[in-house]
Amino acid sequence: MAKQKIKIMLSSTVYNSKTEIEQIYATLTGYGYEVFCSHMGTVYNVPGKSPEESCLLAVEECDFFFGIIYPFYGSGITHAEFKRAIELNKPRGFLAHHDVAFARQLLHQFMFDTHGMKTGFALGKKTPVMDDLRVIDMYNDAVGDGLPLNKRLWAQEFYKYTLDGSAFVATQFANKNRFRADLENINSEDNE
Amino acid sequence: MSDELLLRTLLKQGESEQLEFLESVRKGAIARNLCAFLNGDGGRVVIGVSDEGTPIGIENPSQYVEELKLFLVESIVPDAPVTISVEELGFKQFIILKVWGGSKQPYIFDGTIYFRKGDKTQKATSKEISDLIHGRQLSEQHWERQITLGVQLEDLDQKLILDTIVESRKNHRSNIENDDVLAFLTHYGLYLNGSFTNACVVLFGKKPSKFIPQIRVRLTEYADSKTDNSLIRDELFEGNIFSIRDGLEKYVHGLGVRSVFSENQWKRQDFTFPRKALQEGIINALMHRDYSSFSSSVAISVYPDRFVISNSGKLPDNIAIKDLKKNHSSHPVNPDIAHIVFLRGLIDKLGRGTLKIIEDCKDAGLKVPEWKETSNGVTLTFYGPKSLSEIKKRNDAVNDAVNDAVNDAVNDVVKKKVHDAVNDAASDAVIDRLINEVLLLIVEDGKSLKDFMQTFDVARATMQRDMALLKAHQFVVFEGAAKSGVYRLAEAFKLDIQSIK
Repeated sequence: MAKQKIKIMLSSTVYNSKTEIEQIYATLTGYGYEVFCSHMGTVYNVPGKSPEESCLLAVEECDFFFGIIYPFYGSGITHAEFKRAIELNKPRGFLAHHDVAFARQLLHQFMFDTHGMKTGFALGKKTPVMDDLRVIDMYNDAVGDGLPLNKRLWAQEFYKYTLDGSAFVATQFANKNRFRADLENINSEDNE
Repeated sequence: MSDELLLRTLLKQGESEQLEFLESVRKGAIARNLCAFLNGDGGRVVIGVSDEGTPIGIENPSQYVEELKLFLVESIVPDAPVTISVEELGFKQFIILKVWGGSKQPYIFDGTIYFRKGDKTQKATSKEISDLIHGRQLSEQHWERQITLGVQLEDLDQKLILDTIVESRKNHRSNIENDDVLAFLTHYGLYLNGSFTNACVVLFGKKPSKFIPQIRVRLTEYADSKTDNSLIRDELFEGNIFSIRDGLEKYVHGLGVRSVFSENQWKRQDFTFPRKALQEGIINALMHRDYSSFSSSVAISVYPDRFVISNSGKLPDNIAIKDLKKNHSSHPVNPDIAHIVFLRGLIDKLGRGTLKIIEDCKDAGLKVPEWKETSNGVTLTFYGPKSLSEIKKRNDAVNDAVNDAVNDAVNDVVKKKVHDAVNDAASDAVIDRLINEVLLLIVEDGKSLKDFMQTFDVARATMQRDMALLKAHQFVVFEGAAKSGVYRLAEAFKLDIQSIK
């Protein structure tokens, strides 16, 4: 019997990047994965549960969590999905827009006080290049900012997805068998 | 190559990497195949043909066209220009859908990436998907998609952008629902990370030559030859692609009747350049020119007997001059610019612009225009009328052939009958031609308007008048659909002739 498909949760805001998300979805399904993506309607809507709760249940169900951080925050559901994946310590990977990584460094002195506490600094107005500084919180959550080195992850940066982000997706996911073996390795380590 | 000839050629070619036949209108199958062509080098779907290439035709094809447009623009991601046309062959009708090879791969239909292999469309394999992704990385480096530094929203003609949104919604070439300028530009890849691309500035800039000086087009009209130093006009156009086009269009509109003097005949010949063909030549040059170098340019030089569009760009690597005269499917030089030109309804059938130009010139009785590629770029030259001797020689040849085939008695009767019938309505030259037209039908019954135009080398309007006259006097009847029908001898007249034979 064929093995069950690996389930990937594709978690991303969609504003200004609808086409890219659809292309990533088709790329992953084309590589042979089952992809949960609310924009594509492939997240099971649990009867009686809110869309957010259903999305969080999909995070629990997935084998791998793939988050994309665009400089547009959206409804906050994506951020909640990030947090749930981290809380569950799901095997995960992230792509982050360069502007988020850049703003994170540029604005660090405003967003945090000298004790490393959040100051509540926020954008007064949405801008065409970033609409909410909470995308920086998403980034910090994704990479495990402030955690010891061995607990930290990195997020692959891109500036224009189709130019310098798509290759990451191809490299990471094209070889399904290798990916499956690596996932199984993680799981067995976790169980030891 | 006429539309009919194109269809015939396609049927003969059979299904291939760039051609798919469908018997009936099946939306899913159409979209899957177009999606696969977009992921390759473009191609066509012909509806109304069996897999084996037998033309079956479809009933009332026009009813499907708008519905298909809307469906395809909704369901193929990312958006791509698709042209849909109804064509006729014999008494049957067909739908042809055509796409260029895409520049925003991977293209998706229904969440799936399709790929063309030989004459089959299938789901792309992992390797094919990865290849498409890497190919896309290359197309992102195109000049069009680079950022123009220093351009702000205020530097763009926002009314023009809004007009484009409204127009494309109306002609079903896009499905943009709201009138948000930035969202529109983002959707078509013209705005990203807070910056505008070169294509965006070429298309919508208020003063694009400030950022992209090579966008300027120079129009020079010479009184005589190029060596002549009296210029009738010397003008520089420098707005965005659409305002340049409008300016040139106005000029073309005002061109009027021109005259050349034929030394051989010692006679003046009046003619007009076919306006549509000039417009097509102009928009093609603006859309497919090479903008990437600061020194590139488009120049239009007008002489008494020639109209020359020169473009410093090169033809795309995979197109040769000889292909221009055929029907070519390929990748446009500037896909983002071409897409917006398409949205504004300025492209009718993809890859057919050059063919239309040739047909229009032939119809107007002019020499076939000529494309030339030199180290300096590509030129398109429209010429004046064929010389009178050339026309005469050709007519004489036809007449001789027909006269040989028809015996003298018939010849005399036809001459007399035509003479009597239209005596007052036409000049001697016209009557002679009418006689020959009838004789031609006696030799070979069933000829289209185009056949007549080509045989007698006259413009469409002239031949339409001839045929109307012959019809009014019951020499001929028209049979078949408006586009594909033919003229035949009227039954009563045929019997008359047979009685002589």
